Amino acid sequence: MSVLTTIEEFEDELDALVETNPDDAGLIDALIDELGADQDLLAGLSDEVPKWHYMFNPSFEIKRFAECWQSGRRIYTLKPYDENGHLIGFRIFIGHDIHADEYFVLTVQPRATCYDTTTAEYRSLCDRYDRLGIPAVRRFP
Amino acid sequence: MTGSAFLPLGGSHNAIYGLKITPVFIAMDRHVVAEGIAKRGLSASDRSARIKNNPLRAAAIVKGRQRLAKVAEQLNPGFRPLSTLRLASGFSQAELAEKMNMKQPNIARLEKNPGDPSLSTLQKLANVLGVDIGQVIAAVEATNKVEVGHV
Repeated sequence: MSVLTTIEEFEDELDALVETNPDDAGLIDALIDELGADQDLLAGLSDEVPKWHYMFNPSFEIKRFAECWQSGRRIYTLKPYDENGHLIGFRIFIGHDIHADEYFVLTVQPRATCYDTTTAEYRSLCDRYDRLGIPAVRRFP
Repeated sequence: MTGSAFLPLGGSHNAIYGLKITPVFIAMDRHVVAEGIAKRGLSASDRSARIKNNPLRAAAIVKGRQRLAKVAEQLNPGFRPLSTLRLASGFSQAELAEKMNMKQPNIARLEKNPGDPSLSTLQKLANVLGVDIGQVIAAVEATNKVEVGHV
């Protein structure tokens, strides 16, 4: 059974985000709750990136974070939609322990800077993933 | 914090029937999970408690669910399943379950494959969600239709 959990640092980030951007923080909190409660969606989350749920179009996109995979880390980028059909200005990064079938919500970052691999935030993302002791990706397809 | 499973026998009792007894100490660390696997994240209940303890987040997540319902409707025109009705009312599955005197997995099942719920369940859902029973029936029918189509 797939499981989705968050880590303390991600919760700290949402505590901070809700102070400045309660609308997006609430949407992200709600989406994480819904994802964690949806076994079908979780089970298919890593299946070559689902573009749609069998019942409906999901309220997000998810893609591999290629730079992380190339460094042996199985990390996905979750991109929530807003009510106008646009992606919001934040990205959520999720690590997957394929052996335990457990997803970990690692961080939420502004879209504008989150893919820059030279930042302290990127190093922090990798550190958080590594601390969970998730086995490395052996081969990047 | 550590403790010991056995207390040592006194010095004068270290030999009984010619056998020397050596006290054995076993370290017990309460932070280590029984199977030896450390907990790696927050459980759903820990996370829920944390959100409830932050009034800003508790209010924001209710609005976030309502916004998520609008997102679902925008992306799926004409399709309003039970999950969307629930989100529009601002509830998580666990919260709806509590109000319905049910368990969260039963709500999850009801949302995924409602089948033919009893009239009392439909009425109770309508009352808790604050919607007309016709909307609940339409949501159940919409979900069942997709379920059949999927199979």
